[in-house]
Amino acid sequence: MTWIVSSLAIRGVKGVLDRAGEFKLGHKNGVPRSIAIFGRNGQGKSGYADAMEYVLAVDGGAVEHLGKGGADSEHGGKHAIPHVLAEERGISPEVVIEFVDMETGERISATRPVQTGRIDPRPKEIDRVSAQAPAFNILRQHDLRRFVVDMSPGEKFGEFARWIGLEHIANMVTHLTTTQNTLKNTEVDREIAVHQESIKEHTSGAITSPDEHKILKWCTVKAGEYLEAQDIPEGIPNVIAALVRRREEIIQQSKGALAAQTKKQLAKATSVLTDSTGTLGKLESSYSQGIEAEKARDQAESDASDSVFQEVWKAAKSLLPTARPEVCPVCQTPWCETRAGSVEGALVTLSDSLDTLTEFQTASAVFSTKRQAFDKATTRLDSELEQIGKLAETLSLTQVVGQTRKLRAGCAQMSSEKGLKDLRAQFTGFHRECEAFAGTQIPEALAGLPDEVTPQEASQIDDSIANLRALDEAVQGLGKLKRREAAIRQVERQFARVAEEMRAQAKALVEGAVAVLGSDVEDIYQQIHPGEAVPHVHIVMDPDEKTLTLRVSFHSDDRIVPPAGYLSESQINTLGLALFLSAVRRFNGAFPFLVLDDIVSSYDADNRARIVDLLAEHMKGFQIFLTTHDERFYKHLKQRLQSDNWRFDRITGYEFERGPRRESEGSPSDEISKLIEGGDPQIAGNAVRQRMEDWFDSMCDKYKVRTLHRRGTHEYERTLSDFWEPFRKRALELRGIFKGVVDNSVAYQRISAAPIINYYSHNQANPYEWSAMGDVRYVWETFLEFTNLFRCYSCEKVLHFNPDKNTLYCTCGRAILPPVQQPAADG
Amino acid sequence: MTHKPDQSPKLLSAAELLRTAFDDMLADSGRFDQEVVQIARRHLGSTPARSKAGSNLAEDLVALAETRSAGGKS
Repeated sequence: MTWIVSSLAIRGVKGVLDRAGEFKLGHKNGVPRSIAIFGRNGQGKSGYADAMEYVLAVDGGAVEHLGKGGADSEHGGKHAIPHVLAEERGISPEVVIEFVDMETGERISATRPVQTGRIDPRPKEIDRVSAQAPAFNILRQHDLRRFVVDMSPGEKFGEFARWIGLEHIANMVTHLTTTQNTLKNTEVDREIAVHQESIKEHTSGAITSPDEHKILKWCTVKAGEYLEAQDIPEGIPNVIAALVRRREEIIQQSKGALAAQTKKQLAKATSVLTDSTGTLGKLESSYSQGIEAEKARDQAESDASDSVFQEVWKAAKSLLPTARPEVCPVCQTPWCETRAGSVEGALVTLSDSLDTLTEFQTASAVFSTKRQAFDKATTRLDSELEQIGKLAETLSLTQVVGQTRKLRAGCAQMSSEKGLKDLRAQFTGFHRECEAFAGTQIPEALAGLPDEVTPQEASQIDDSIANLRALDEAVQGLGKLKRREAAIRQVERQFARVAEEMRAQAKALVEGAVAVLGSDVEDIYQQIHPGEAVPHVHIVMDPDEKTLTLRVSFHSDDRIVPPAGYLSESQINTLGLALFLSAVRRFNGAFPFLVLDDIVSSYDADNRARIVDLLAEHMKGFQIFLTTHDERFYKHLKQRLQSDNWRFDRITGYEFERGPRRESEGSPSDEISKLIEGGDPQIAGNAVRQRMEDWFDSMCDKYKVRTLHRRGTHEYERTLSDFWEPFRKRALELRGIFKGVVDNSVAYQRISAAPIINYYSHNQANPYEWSAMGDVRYVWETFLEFTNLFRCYSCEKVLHFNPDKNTLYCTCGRAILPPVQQPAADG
Repeated sequence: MTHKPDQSPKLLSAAELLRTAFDDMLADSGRFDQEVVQIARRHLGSTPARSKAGSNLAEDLVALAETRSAGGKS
């Protein structure tokens, strides 16, 4: 595909409001039509470039030299794009562009309304075409040095990367780096650490490193708590399986251990009953003491049975010594008839009776204390029997349990209010039964139970199995992680080879592009500055750092310097122009469209002519939209490219309220004809002279005519005389082709004979003085007739020249010269 | 007839570079792990690559490594 701009319509953009914004370009016979627009400064030329930069810009619609700021920014920002009167006039600022594919005829049309905000998407239709032109295709005078001087190495890289589609390559390199970094950082260390911590936790801190041998050794030791050494298998899973398999057996062993422990406790509890200072001994002792105390109390009570009148006796004891009655005050019996026999005797009896009563009270208190001691001993026995009963129940000693219940019932009976002497027989039997229970029955019952078994709880074995499972999981996880780590490192190494190859390919592409670009730039530079030492251009790319540096050799291959510090402004501009044109030519082939906005301001006349040659010779096949305020440059373009499907427009005026006034220019012949019709002989005469000079200049170049005047330099000093004689000789010597044609022509003879050349040359005192329009017309018509000699006789196209064969020809293939006229016969 | 711009010598485009790299140089199974190459091609073999192509490629390569470490057929 080869896309070109078919048409363009600019409305309300920059200085273009409602006129002079439409362009019909397209192509003719596969040659894209270009356009050159001449206009003085301030006549809106650059508005065209702005409009095209805007319509082709990516999303956001930035126009480089306006900057990205707001309306108050230094560069004006996007707000400077719409014409300031557009809104007032009801004109929607927009650019309408149509592309045509010269190969298929397909057309794409798109309208981009000017948006001053950030949201400004480029129409998708334009994307398709613009993607074919990675190199920036709009160049302005002030941008010539941009790439060479103003851009940082990083920005240069970005620009260059876009030109050669390197953004994809650069992205690929970035992706390669990202991938490699990600792989490098894909470590399982953290996960390994987690598993190591788990191993440490499940080995009770014994294993702190992933040493498989140590872990297995630890497992063996752990298994030894449950299994005999010969029963411990190898490997954690096997140990776990063995423990699971023998779990019930181990738990049973644990129950035996409990029984042994209970047996010990029961034996101890029993011994508490039977020891010399044991409970039963104390019980018996307290009973004996209680019996004795009870007996003493009973005796004292008997002794005091006669002392029932204690209160009376007490009153009488205090009364009798003083009152001394004749008779007993109780029974009215005379003293002599009483057993006491007298008052004194009665007093002695009273005193003895009261003593006996006191002894009784003392004995009663002693008995009460002893009785309480007995009850306490009984209660303690009951408590110990209860404990024995529980232990016996744990051991399932049913007879012992039954006996404890019976004996406890006996304890209860001992605690009744009965006197101890009444319990004698019962106590004796009870005590014997207790002694038999503790001394015989319990030991016999315990004799069948094991004495020593290692204590193990079911939960312990379960915990151990769970712990070993967790340990096994951690160990296996660790193994997997190590294998995963190894596999990742292997893939990382394999990918590194792939990445290295891809980088090498990318580097080769970049270096190839750099070499071609550098060569192009030097060629272009030499064409614009012939005769000068061409600086060798060093374009150094660093895809890894994403930088590009531009250096030149300055008068020595060893002296490599930045262009800005050493080259002239014109040379820097040439370097920038060369880079631009080379990039467009190399990388924008599928959309060969470029805009050159007033690019020759800093060049002198010689260089301008060279730039015209450059465009004519190096940019064939490209569609160029060119503006200039330099009339001489414009005329060079017209002279050189008029016949190459170029259109030439002149901005003849500018009104702020409307925009430029643009007029299309015809061929030079048409212009001169108009000027002659206009009636000013000075203007028309000068135009004729300039046209003649241009024509002879180009023809001398075409036919390789050696002239004193060097083509392209100092054109303003040339004269027709400089061209005429050398050209005349050359025309007549072209293998005799023109011999008899040119020299026989009236036009040649007039030009040769009449002072047309000499008179209207710079050698005259006033070469620009034309006396009358008739003279101008005469010279012009003679000249046109002369130029027709160099057109094909058959088709009237301008003849081509083959310098190798030193001959003329026409693409029509027919006779290029008129038939030779036979001389008339004599007579 | 269309008059195309002269661009000789022809430079490879990014897409052409990638195609050539994957079809020719990287296809050498003696030098390059073809599973790795195919994964790389899937992520980087066309232009433009996705913005996260690098990290996605790394993920797939890690997945390949895991499959291999698990002993499974990758």
